[in-house]
Amino acid sequence: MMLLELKSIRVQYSEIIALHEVSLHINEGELVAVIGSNGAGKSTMLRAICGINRLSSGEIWFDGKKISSMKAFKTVEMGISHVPEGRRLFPRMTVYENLTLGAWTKRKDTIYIQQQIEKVYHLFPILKERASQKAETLSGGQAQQCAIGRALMCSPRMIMFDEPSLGVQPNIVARIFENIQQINQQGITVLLVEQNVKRALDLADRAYVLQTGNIVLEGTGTELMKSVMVQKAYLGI
Amino acid sequence: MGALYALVASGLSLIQGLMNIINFCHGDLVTISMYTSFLLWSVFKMDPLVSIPVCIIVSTLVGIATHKLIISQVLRSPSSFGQMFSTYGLGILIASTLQFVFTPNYRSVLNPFVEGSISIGAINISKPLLFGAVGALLAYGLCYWFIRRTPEGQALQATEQDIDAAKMMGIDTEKMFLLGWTISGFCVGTAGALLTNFYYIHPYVGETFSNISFVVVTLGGYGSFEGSLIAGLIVGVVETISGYVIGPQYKLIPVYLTYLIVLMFRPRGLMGRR
Ligand SMILES: Nc1ncnc2c1ncn2[C@@H]1O[C@H](COP(=O)(O)OP(=O)(O)O)[C@@H](O)[C@H]1O
Ligand SMILES: [Mg+2]
Repeated sequence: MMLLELKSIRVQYSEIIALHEVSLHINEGELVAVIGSNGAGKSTMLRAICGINRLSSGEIWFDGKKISSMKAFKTVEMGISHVPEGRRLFPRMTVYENLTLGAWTKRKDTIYIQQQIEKVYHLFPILKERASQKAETLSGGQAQQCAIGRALMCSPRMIMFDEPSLGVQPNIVARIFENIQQINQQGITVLLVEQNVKRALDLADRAYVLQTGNIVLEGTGTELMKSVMVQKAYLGI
Repeated sequence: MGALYALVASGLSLIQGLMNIINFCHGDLVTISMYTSFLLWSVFKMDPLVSIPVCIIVSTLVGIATHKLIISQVLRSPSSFGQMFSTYGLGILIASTLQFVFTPNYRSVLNPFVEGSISIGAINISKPLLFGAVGALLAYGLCYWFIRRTPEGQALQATEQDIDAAKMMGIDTEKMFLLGWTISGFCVGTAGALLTNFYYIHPYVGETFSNISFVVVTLGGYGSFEGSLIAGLIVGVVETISGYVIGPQYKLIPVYLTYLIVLMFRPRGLMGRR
């Protein structure tokens, strides 16, 4: 079953067109990667899906409903969660407060929030240790774990990861990708955006290549890994 | 007086942090609240204490109108000068409208419910002033509790710290702006009503409060709610002491001196963040 569908979306920043006519789809339960170099429009795409950037044309559908004119907070209520580029934690709030804010859409249910926080602590024990520390004091890897934990707090149907390996110590990167796989195995649909092409393709059921605002290639992870174009442009082979 | 400064400045601090603007008409909302209180007293013989809720509602509504009609419009423009001058202009508009309606005469409320003074040893403390201080501290405490201890307060802080990330949490940030103006209206409305008990009322009285609020917000540390309280109290104490020692007409000089000296050593203010 198709969960998310982009139909020829175009997004621009005043004059600059960041996405030309991007179409893609994700089925329920899939792990789909979008790879592309710096400035290709990956972050813009995710920000358009969650309603922060508006479309100039095209449509976005999620779970059978058109979401492209919804405000950002509505898409979260629909079950779309976002681990943004650079993590974007609330710097002067504690880890615990950041996690709680992740469950804003379910704020009335304090029992649910406590249970969900325990689950996140179970996945990322370091967050429990750092619970009362301000987010701005965390290291890159800890902050990424906190951002992922925060995105899990609302029990989303789909999580979008924007370059989760960026600014994370190399020894933690593998852990982060394992976590993403675990999350997907729990039944949450994943849209992963990466420049770390090899790792992303290893993980993905299917993948798309985004180049200067256009999708130029799509296929399964293994297919793309074998593609001459991907090897030359992104894997340096 | 310090507690009232702290209360007024907390409202300013909140709005400036939340909207990321410099708001020059904050003090004029105090003026509006004072005239509301005055009007209700002169027409309906309502005591300034009784009319506090009305003052809060009026300042909140004026704040929200300012937000909807002016600030949300200028926020779309990339020019920060535009933002600065629009609130400055609105301040002038409010003051001159009040001058037109109420004349530039100094007004005050006669025979309020709370008046006179109590003496402790050699010191005479005016009751309305004492009452104002206690009321302002209570109002400040209520705001503080709301912002730091409730989920809505957390969401408000989140919006202030990173608006896009707040949207990604599912927070309706437009509602948070309105909530911010409501809290600011609560601070300013309460302060105005408490001031009416003992302070003169004049169309341009808000300018004093705007200026002092800027001093308090910067002294306390931009965006720090706790800093506003401490700095507000410091400014109040310095002002009172210098009023006694060197005379009321010069009382603001030591205030600004303190401000300059503190900023020389702590450019980010007392509780400012990196
Ligand atoms: N806020 C912005 N204002 C103007 N242009 C932007 C903005 N954000 C991104 N862009 C431009 O849009 C294009 C795509 O950017 P982005 O989506 O961040 O790419 P990626 O995430 O793939 O690195 C780039 O050319 C970038 O310069
Ligand atoms: Mg990006």
